[in-house]
Amino acid sequence: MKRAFSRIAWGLGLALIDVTVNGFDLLPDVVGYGLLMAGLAKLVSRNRMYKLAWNAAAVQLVLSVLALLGLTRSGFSLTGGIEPSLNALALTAAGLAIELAMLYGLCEGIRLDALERDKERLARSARNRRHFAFASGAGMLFQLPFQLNQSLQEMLPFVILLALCVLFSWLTIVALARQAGREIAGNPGSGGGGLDDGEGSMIDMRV
Amino acid sequence: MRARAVYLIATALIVASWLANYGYYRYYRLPEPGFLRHYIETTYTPSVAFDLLYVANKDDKRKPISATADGLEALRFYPVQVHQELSRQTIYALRGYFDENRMQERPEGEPLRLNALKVQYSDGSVREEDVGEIIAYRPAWPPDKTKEPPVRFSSGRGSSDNSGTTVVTAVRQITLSGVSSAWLEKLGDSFRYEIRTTDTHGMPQPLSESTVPLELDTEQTVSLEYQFKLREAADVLSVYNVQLREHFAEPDGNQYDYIVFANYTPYPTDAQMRAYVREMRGRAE
Repeated sequence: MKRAFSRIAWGLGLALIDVTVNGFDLLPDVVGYGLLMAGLAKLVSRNRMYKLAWNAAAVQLVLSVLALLGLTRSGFSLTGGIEPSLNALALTAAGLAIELAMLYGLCEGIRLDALERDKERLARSARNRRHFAFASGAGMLFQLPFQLNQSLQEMLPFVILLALCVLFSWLTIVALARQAGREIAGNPGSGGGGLDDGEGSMIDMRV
Repeated sequence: MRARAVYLIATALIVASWLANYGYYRYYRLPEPGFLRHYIETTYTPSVAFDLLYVANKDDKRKPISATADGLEALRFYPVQVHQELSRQTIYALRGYFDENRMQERPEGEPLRLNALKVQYSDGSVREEDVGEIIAYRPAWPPDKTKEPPVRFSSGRGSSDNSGTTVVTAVRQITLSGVSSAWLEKLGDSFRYEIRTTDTHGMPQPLSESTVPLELDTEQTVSLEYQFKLREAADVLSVYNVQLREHFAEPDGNQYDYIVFANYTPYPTDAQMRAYVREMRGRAE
C-alpha cells in the first residue's frame, strides 16, 4: 500500500507541475493522473472516498487526454495580457471543481483510514488540508466569473494570491500522501509503516 | 454537520457568483454587432473620404473588410483597424478614401445622399448595412484651378475635447456671408461655432467676436471655432463629419466656399458603451 500512496504523491506532483518547451508539455498531466488512478485503484476497496477521488481523477485523465490532443484547453495565462474567454473560464472552473472533488476524496479517504487505525494526528492533518484545499479552490471558483466583467489586470493581485494558495494546498496534499504512505500502509491496527512486498522502495519521491 | 453547512454555503456562493456574473455579462453583450450611426458630409474628390466605425462583441469573429456605394465608384477602404478596445466590445474602423486613379471626368453634380452601403465581411458575406446618413458633394472633376482662391489657410487646431479652430486670411477684399452645414440643424445645441476676426488687418491683434456678413480687407484673418457638446447616449456613440462651409462673396459677385472640417469620432467609456448596449437591447426587443 505504501507504493499506492507513493504513486498518488508522484501523480499529484506531476499533474501539478507543467514544464513546457515551445508549447510542448514535457510532463503531460495525463501521466500524473494515470499514476494517481493507479495508486487510488489499490485503495478504492477501503472506503468510498477513495472511489470518489478515483472517479474524479478518471475525468481529469480524459480531459487531459483531450487537452493533449488539442481538443480542449482549460486554464489561462495570468501574465499573457489576454482576457480569458467565457469558454476558457468555464473549462478552468470545471477542471478546478473536479480537482477539488478529487482532493476532497483523497483527503477524506486518508482521514477515514487514519481514524480506523487510531492515527489521530494524520486524521487531523488530512482534515485541515482538505479544508485548506476547499477554501482556496472555492475562493478561486468564486472569483473566476468576475473575470467576465472585470479586467484580469484589475484582479491580478487577488488572482495570484488565490493561485498560490491552490498551489500550496496541492503541495500539502502531496506531503499528506507521503505521510499516509508511511503511517497507514499495512493492515488496520498494525501501526502502519510497513512496505507491501518492498514495493515502496521502487518508486519514491524526495520532497 | 457544521462542516457540511459551510460547504453548502460556499457552494451556494460560488453558484451565485457564476449566475450573477454570467447574467451581467450576457446583459451587456450587444444583441447584434453593427455600424455606429454616422452623419457624414464628404466631398467626392481624391482625399480621405470618411471612417466607418463598427462595434462588435469581443468574441465576434466577423469583421467588415470593405464597403461600396453606388455613385461613389472611387471609394476604397484601407484594411480594418481596431479603433478602441472596451471591456466587452471592440470598435473597428474602416478608413475610406477616394482613389484618384478611379476618378472619372464629370461636371458638377447634385449632392448624393446615402443611408446604406454594401459591406463585405471577413467571412465572405456581403450585406447591405444602414450606416446612418452620408452626403457626398460632387464638384466637377478635374477641378478648375485657373482662379486663385480669395482666402488662404493660416492656421488650424484640433483638440481631444472635440473642439477646433481654423484661421484663414483674405488674399483680396471679400465678404464672409455665412456659414452652413447639412448637420447644424440636427446637432442643435450639441454643436457651437463662433466667428472671430482681427480688428485691423495686418497687425497681430487678438481676435474678437464677429457676425456675418463680415467684410474682410486683404490680409485680414477670420477664425472659425467649433465645439461638439454631445451628451445623449445615442449621440455620444455617433460619428459626425461636419463640413462647415464659409461662404465668401467677392465684389464682382463670384462665390467661393472654404470648408472647415469639424469631426467628432467617439471614444466611449465603458459606462457609455453599457448605455449604448442597453439602448440597442431596448430597440431589439
